[in-house]
Amino acid sequence: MSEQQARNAAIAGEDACIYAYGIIGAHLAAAGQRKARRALDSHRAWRDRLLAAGDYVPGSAAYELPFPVQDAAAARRLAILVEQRMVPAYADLAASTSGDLRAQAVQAGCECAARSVAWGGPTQAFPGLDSPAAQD
Amino acid sequence: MTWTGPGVQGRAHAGGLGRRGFLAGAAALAGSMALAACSSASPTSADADADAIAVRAQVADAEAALIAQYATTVAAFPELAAGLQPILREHQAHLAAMGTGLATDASTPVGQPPATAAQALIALADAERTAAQQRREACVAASDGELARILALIAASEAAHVPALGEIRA
Repeated sequence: MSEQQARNAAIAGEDACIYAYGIIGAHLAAAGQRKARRALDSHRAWRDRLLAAGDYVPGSAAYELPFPVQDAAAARRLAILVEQRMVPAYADLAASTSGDLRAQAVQAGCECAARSVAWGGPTQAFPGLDSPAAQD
Repeated sequence: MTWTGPGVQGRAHAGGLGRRGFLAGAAALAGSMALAACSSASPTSADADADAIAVRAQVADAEAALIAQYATTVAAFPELAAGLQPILREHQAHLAAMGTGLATDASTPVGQPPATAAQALIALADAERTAAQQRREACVAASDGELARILALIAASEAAHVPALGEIRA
């Protein structure tokens, strides 16, 4: 995977997270909503950093939720899933780049993995790769 | 939510990164991608291999120490076992991924545990923070792209152990 491919994939993933957190926040009560808001801000900031690092070829921006999200429990499940899925995307970016962008990628992956657990997700030896949730 | 599974793609493509890997090593040492492009003193691929072996050995040692710390804690505070065993197993997977084939039984408890279960959990969380930081640094310094990818995943796993430990009640 080239650096640009990996960066495009990470940006597309961040766009998906931003979309998902709009739905997640709508189904949570005050404390969860604040947590979702902080996560949303973080994903927006990482997307902007990735966009600033080079060219971006946008893909199709139609998202389909993996399951219906109509209550707080489903909203948390979606948050766990989208955070887990970002970790391998950032690991691929770390693999295909070096220096500052690699440092940013590994930092972003750590933040996503920690948030997935903070939302109640399981810990994983290789986050996003060894979870049934990530393989659907 | 449908988007292409990046992990699968990464595994399929990661093998092709070795050639540019040793340039990345120079970049990491200098903290600058620009220098790698201008560097006239590229390390040989043998240097890059030796570098990757050294990094793997260092990470394997650190993982073995973490495993021992968890084993010591579980032995002293059996009530924490249910919460800690899954995390311990993840460190064993990290150790195995370093492929160094350590002969030592890393699950043997060593040293003295803290006085209370609560203190032991705090010590483990501190150790995980340090581990995640060390893995991030090793990832940035890695001369090999595939090694960088594994270290990024291990760093993320360890960063996520911190909130998990916070949920375990002493």
